Amino acid sequence: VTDDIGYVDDALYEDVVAFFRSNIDWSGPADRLGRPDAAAAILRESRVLDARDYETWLSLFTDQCIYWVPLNAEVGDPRVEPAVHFDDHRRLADRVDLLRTGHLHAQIPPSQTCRVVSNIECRSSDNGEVDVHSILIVHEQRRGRTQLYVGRQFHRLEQSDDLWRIKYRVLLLVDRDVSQGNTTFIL
Amino acid sequence: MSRADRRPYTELVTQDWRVHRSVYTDPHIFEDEMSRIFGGTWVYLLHESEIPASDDFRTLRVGRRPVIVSRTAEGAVLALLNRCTHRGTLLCPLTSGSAARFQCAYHGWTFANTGRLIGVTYPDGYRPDLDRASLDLSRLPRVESYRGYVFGSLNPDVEPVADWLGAARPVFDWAVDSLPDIRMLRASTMEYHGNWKLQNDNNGDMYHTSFTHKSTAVMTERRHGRGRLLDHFTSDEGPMVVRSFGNGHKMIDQRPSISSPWQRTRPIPGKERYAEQLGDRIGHEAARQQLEYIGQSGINLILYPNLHIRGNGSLSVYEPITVDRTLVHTYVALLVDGPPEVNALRMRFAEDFVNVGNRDDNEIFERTQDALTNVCEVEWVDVSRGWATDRESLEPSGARVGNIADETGIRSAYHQWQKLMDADPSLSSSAASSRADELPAVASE
Repeated sequence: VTDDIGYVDDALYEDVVAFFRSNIDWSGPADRLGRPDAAAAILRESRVLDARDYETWLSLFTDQCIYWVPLNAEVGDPRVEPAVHFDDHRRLADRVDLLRTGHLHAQIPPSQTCRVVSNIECRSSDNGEVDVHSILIVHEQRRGRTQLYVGRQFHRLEQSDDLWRIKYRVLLLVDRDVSQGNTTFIL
Repeated sequence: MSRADRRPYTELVTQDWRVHRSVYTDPHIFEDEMSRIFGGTWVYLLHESEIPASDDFRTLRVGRRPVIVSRTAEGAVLALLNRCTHRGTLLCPLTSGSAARFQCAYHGWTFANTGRLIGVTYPDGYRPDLDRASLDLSRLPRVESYRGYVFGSLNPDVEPVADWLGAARPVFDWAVDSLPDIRMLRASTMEYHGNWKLQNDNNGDMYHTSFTHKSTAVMTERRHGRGRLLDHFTSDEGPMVVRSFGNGHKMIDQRPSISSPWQRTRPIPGKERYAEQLGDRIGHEAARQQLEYIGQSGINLILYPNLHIRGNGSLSVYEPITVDRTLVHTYVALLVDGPPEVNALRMRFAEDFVNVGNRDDNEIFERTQDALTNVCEVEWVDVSRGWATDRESLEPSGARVGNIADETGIRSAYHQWQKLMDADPSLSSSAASSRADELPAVASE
């Protein structure tokens, strides 16, 4: 599989920032009947990550995806602000490969995780995409130490081949401006 | 262990370059370090571009002390102890902002950002001859800006920053001169459960690279081929060197093996697209030069105790929390007049090694802290690699230069550690001298 390397440009940045802003500012009602199929896609992502099935996890993203974990609470422009993560598909694939080298000391032994994804609310747009707002709680245990990672997350899903795929995922950790521990296991 | 049972500091580092485990594990030694090292010499505070305007401030720690670094109306930069002089409350709980004065949340005492006490609530309750000047905020007696980088010290007798830099000064100047105007931005903060010196040791150590960072090297080569980050170091032979500058400063000099930072940069989001866009916009030769601002410029300069200049406008600053917990704050510079494509790629590059490489470093620090703390039967670690061999020499500048994988730089740090811990300098933070008309001008170069 060759990575799509040409899609991160100004238009993409502006679209991702608009997506983040529209979700962080969202105060209106969700789709009245919900979107059980879209919600199931978010839960599946959580399930495969707990199973450390990173190859399946990567397959849940579109070829032109963005995974963004901001450093700041305010919506900023990632072109002039560093993030914890701002990954395109190629960088996500790098991180998966890193986990598979057998030499990643930070995951020897691997983290045991259990995630709760709750407060799922969906909004459909006219072009067939669905935005999903949820709360993520990751309980991690590794080498005798327990850590909790909590955040709001926003997904934009796009339908292809009868499956919902993740176009954008933004994870807004509550302690993003404090410090990051060993999150090599992928939040 | 009681105080009397403990060895003097000069005996915790041996003449054949072993360091006693307690240097990393003893909370009493840590307490002394917070004054004798983090008070006794210069510590890096911030870059002036983080508080560019009058009344801007940022809070941080000097050792464990909470400090407000403020820029006064006159443009002077001061480091105030962030502690209300009334009942001891942390005065400012914010990380940064703009304020001409600070009011304590507890009883409403108000201080100017020069430290001067300007308001006591319900003042009639105090005796008429209350000495208000003695209740000004305390401040660090020494603050100096060297080329925009601000250092502070609690030791009034510390030498000027330029002298303290010593033989490291030309490298520092090279790092500053190699970039146009910058604005320093806070990037990720990493936390590990280990002593702060494990990070300081590691930043002057290329011996670990092939082993600790094997995951990064293997992934990078199989995903992106050779010629990228890290694979210029495969053995301890080659043109790269490590230098020890005195005063604990050290550097890894990878410049002889890194001719093009841009070419060696691992793929980052937008790399190809923005490079092409920039070339189309300003011409390919101009673009090629601008793109060299992205990537690792080949120096790791570590100023003892807490600043790691990684080259090309990126920094790490160590913040000790306890004897076995440390924060590492990373920073990346925005090029004020730089092309937007270059800045966007600089931001993405700042996220690269912290996520793929530094996690393995932190894991090693935690494993080291665990074993050093809990194996009391084996007392020493060895930092002698390269010592008493023909691999070290003195440069005309006074710097000691060694093989890239030797522990020459680590020895520099422990030489300084011994000196500062043994000296036990008398520290001061004078309240009376913080009266605005007595403020020293901040030296700028």
